Amino acid sequence: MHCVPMSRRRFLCILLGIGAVAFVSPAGRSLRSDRVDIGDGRANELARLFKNRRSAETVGLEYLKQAPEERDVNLLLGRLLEGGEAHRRTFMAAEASRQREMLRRQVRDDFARGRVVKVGGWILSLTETRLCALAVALGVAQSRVGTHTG
Amino acid sequence: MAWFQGGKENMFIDVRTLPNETEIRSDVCIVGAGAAGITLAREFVGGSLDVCLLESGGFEFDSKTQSLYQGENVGFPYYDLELLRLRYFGGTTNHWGGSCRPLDEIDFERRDWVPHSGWPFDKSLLDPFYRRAHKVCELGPYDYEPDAWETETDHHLPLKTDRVKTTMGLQSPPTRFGRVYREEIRAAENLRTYLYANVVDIETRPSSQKVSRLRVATLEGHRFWVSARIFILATGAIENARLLLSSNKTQKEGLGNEHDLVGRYFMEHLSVPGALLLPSDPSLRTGLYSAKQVKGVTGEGFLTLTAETLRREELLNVRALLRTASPQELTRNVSGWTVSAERILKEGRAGNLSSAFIKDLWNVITDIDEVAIYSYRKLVRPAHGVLSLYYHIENAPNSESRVSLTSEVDQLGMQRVRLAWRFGDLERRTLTRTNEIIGEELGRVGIGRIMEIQNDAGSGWPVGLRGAWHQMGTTRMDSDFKRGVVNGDCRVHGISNLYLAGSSVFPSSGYTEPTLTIVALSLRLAYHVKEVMK
Repeated sequence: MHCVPMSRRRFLCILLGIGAVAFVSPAGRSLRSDRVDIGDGRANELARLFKNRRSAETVGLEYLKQAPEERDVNLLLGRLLEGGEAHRRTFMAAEASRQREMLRRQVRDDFARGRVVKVGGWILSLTETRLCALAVALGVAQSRVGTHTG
Repeated sequence: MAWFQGGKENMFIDVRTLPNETEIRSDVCIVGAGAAGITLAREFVGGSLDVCLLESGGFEFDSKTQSLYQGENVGFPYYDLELLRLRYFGGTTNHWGGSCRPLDEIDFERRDWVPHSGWPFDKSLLDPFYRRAHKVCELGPYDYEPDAWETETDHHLPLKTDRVKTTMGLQSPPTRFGRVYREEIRAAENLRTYLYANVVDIETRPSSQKVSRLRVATLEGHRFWVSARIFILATGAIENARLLLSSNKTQKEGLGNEHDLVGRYFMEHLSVPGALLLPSDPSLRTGLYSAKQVKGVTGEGFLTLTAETLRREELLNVRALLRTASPQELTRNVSGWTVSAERILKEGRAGNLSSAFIKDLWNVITDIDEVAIYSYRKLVRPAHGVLSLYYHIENAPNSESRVSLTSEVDQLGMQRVRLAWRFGDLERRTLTRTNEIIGEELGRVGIGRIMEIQNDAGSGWPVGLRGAWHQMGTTRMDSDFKRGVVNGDCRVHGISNLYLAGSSVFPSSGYTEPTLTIVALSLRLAYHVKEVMK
């Protein structure tokens, strides 16, 4: 297959070229799946963690092949913010920058606790892949122009 | 029958100049002048024992002699057996890379999850000999902690964890034993070295409890005998087994083989590209993990799993060497699910992978790991600095991994060998879990993410898996004669005057190069023989 440097087609090239790598750690499978609605505005704030959303979407799309149910934003948020009601409330009350910091810690904690997922052979934290999936789920790809920094 | 004994012939002797059917007599006969044989011989220099050292070759490589190593492979694809060992004075140290490290404490332990593991003694017994082996191999202090090699810029990865640690391997010049110790051996008054002398049979008394003499032959057709009070075979892991199996006149299954152990439990280290490491920060300093010299000693850092992790996870011992990933590795392992191999190669050669998934992932993890290189990222095209994690994995002792004899014979009439190198689930699980554990630890401290190397559809193992040129096992050591060919003193069970030296006696192998342990065991064996013969 020939790939040309157009973002959408490149995307498709990536998707079509990827073999099925379906591994989710047992820890990942047992996560709570409560749905959380924080509003698209707040969710978009989370996705701003990434300077380059297109890259996040590429990783997120690959992850969503393994966990298609997480295309549902509220379900995805529920899994991202699992950890109890108190934690969720603290998170919701925090400033966006503080929320991003909490998520970064959660990524580190994922690695420490073996909450990892293999995406195309890469060993990634569940939180970071879900954040990438969030970028996809929010459908920001179509609305974004000129944010690619690479 | 003419015979030679000790005294004035303290020299190297070309046995082709001796009368046919000569009988050479000595107190101790050492067969093989490689790392083990030369180390043993040197230990007797200046002593009261008369020693003869038999070497199959001369002082230079000779293809006819080398071809005596020919054999067939029937297990996991392995190297041409004629290529790996060298059959002339100095043995395989003539092309040895020089990497040194003692086995770890855990390698000596009997581990429940590794069948047939465990040495008859622990590492502390060998430590004094390891220290002395350092001198033999021209190494520096007996110290494998990374501190001495750390500088302000080159330090160990900050894995504050009890799961993964950094440790060191040291580099011998490398010592070419045949060159470095040749003059010492030539000048020794109580030591004679016989060149072009190939042992073709070990003659035992009818009871088989004692070796009486060795039948020795040359490629030119000379035949003679060597008698001694003690015999030590130091011909390498494959040849030691071959000699015992071939010496079957009084015991048809071969010497020391009453329990069908000789030749079995052959081990190699699995040398395998296991993962790619994509650092969050392309300027990650990994200088400690390349060979570097400090105070005249060259060391190289690598990652290992701690003993606690090995126990908890029930894994084999393993180390990860960090290397800059080659374009070929990237092509082979990344292109399958990103863009065309041609494109990756092109970009790899250009020093970047700008349009591949790898860059998208890198963008993600630099954000996640908060690497402060945004200006850098805007100004230059990132090269990513992808590293390769190259593993050396212990080969679990396996009775089906073995050396046996074929019906084909060599120029001397000795049966050639058949090697079946085997490994399985435990090695596979070690590879998989090591990737996961190291991946988790690197992610935890924000160093980067790793990608497992994909398995080859045919072999089920990553492309590039091969042996590390480390042949071990085949005459394993165990104090129980039903489980080992030699006892803790390296003496063949049931034979009072036959000893084996070298890596053939290793009951388990760890991940490290065997040479330092071969030398340490040889020093210990020489000490033992001197005590026995007092």
